[in-house]
Amino acid sequence: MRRFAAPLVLLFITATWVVITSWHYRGLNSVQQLAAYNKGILSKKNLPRNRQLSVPGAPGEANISIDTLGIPHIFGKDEAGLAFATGYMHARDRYFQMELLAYTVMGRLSEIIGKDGIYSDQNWKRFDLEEKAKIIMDSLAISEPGLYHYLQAYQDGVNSYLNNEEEKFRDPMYLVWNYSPRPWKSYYSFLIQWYMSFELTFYDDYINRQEILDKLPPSIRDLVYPDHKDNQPMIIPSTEQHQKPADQPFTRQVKIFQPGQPNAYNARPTNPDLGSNNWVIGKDHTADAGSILCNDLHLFLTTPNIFYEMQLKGPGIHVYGYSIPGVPVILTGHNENIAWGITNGGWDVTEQYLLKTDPSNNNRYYLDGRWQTMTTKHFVLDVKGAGKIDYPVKYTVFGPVVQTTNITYALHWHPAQWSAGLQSFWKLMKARDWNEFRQALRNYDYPSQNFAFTDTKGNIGMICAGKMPVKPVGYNGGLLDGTQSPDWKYCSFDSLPQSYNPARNYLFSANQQPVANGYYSSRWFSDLYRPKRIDTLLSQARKFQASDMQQMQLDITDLSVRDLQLLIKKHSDKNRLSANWRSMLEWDGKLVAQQREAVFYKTFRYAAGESSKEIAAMLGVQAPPSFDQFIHLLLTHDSVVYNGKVIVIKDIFQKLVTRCDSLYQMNIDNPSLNVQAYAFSIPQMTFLPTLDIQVDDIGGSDNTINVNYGAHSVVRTVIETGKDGIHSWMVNAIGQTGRLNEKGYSQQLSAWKRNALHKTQFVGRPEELKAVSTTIIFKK
Amino acid sequence: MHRLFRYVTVTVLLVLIQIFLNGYLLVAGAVMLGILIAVIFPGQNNFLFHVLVIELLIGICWAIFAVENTAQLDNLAVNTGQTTLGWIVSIILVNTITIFLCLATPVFFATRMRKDYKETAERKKNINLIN
Repeated sequence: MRRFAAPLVLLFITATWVVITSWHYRGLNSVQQLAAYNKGILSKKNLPRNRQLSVPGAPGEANISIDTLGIPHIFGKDEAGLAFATGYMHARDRYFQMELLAYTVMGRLSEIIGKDGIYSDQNWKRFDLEEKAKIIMDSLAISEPGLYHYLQAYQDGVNSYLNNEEEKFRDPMYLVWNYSPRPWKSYYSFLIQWYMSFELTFYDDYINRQEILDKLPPSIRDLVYPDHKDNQPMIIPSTEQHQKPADQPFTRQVKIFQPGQPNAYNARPTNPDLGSNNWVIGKDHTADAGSILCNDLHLFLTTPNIFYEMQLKGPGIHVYGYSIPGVPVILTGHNENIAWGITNGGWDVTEQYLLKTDPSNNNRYYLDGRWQTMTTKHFVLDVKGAGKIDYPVKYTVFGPVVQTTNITYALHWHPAQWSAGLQSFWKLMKARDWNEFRQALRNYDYPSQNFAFTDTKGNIGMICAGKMPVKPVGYNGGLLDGTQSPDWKYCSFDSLPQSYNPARNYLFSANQQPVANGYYSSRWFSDLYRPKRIDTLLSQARKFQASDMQQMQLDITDLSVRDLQLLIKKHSDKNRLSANWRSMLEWDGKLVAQQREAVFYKTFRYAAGESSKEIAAMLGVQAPPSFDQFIHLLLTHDSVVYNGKVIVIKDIFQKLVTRCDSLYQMNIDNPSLNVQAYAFSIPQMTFLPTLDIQVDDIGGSDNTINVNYGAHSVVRTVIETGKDGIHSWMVNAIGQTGRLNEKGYSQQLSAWKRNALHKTQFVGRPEELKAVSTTIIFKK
Repeated sequence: MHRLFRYVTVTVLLVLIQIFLNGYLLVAGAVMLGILIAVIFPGQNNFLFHVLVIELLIGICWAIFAVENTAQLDNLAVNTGQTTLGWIVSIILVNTITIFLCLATPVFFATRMRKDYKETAERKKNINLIN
């Protein structure tokens, strides 16, 4: 046997190698398949360039000119051709992304990525959105036949590309995830709208808020968790008249937590930095007596970016801007007459209803004076590599039931009931003036957005649009009573905050409170500094040009530094301050990436977060005060007395100073950490390791106009209107295509860092385009 | 059999399994080829070294073939922060190691079994002589 030892060792090594390289780790393809010469990564080819393609069988006629940035300029002889060509281009450049998003919202992500998708699928399945999307699509056939046919033609364009795509040209991500593209269906567009709504509107901290309401007396709550935004710049200028929406009758308060009762609720994490900036300035503020509209959208940045730049020109439509692959409309951009930009409204559109369940039968809940039975629906999750899993969901009249260790509530996410956003954007693309703009948004629902407006006549406006649920009188953010049937009502469109040609001749939104009318619309308007900075810059008595606006989008001055300076003066002896703290007092607050003050301030922000958590722990609650609430507390009070204990503010500040110094020193002592304010990496959208793109030397924070923290300006636009029409400049944070093996994947990253926006080619005929690399002609 | 013929045969078979097979089929194909080498070319321990060289050459040929595809490899490299050469070498190495291991294992076993058989036969012969 000893003489076979060497071959046996070799056999073991071979078997191990084969097993490892053939292993489909977490739904991914095996190394063997990826490295195969004939069908692996090496076999992939770039999409054909510098040529003319002719695609027969389209429902209409169109041609596409693709420029060297990969931006398609689509000229259609009819709407069907326009939609078909749009679908063709979205599929060509982003089908993996489109499909992944649609499958995510259908609760079928685990079919693509395996077990890691189960958590997401369980979240989405309970809303049953695939069925609702089909119903909406069917209803369009009667209510909006034009849009219905447009979406059908779009579906045909997507599938035409997929059916004719040779495998060697297929997006390498399909090889990496070991599956093949499946056909697109017209109703998937609504699913992607819901994806955006979820990203921008779904909050899950109601139980933590309820804990604060239950445990802390109002006096402490107002000290530590104050709502002190009334002196801040609102979206609608204070000079404007605004009607307050009607309140619902008072609903019975609920109480969950007793003093000292622990809160083990694990809230779904949300990204507080998602948002955006938009502003529009009128004739009084522009050098050329026109108007300028700017927009930068703040989302969690992945490759590919979610936005896709394009131009559409057809009968009755000529529009330029950013679409989302899968949704064939322009979300931010302009046509020949008007321009618009969006920011997230951040309204509270999720409701959690506390249920009283029958102790002897947890399928029953108490409603309107009697026990009612929950209905149960069984979903099937078809998990790649793990077979089918039964997923039962219980429902009440409010929505799906969520059971935690000791709390049972029903979830009502208003956006899940219907989706009318796409219909509004469809009309918006064709709007010619403020009235048509308003008309287009009249039935807009989710995600709630602040729409900035301008037109070629120099008019400016802003509408905070969406379907805002009417909240009960006195509601302040916790759970609602689930023992009474709901009576959902929504604010009328005319009662929503809006402004047209205000006296100051500029408008802006940066996810702040829309209007100070005492009406509860949200708890998440927490960034007080970014709106103030925009207001400060726009209110200067000067005339702006488009180039000034581009510079303003790059602004990295953080006004929260001024509050720190006040804190230092209030709580420290200037003579005993260390050099770092002294430098804070003289600093202008510009967060330049490598600058010592900026790095120190970033450390301070981190340390402040830790101190906030300590305050929450002292009060016996889970949710810490937000940064602005924390600073407000330290600036306005000397002590807090709670339950006989005295919390001395100066002590908190001194501890914060010690923690900050220690963290900063640790960073300095370890140069390999390369701590900057701010560097980050952009993950690939399926979070595949090694595919991150590192971005250094960018600066900024979550309070600067150029937001760089949990979110980034994923696209930026500057649109100028005047006597000679509309001109625009745009940049995408990454690139046009989602194909990892194409140049366009990260082509605009460098320009984005410098905000070197490209001048868009908004032209009436394809012959006027420059730098065209590929032409595709569609024929019936 | 003429040495050149042996190399041509093995090379052709290697190229064929790499063109037409991947994944488990590639593994199975390499094992079959290993058995074939062990049967047709017995006792050729150093032959595997030459197979390895051939295999590497084939890999390099694939890489050259991929040159028409340089743009996509360059883009992959830029977009993933790697190098084009890194991508090519990684792919060649995975295939070379797989094929070589799968091919060498049956050859090694066959060589040892043959040696074992020969020595057993020799011992039997010696015992017979003593008797």
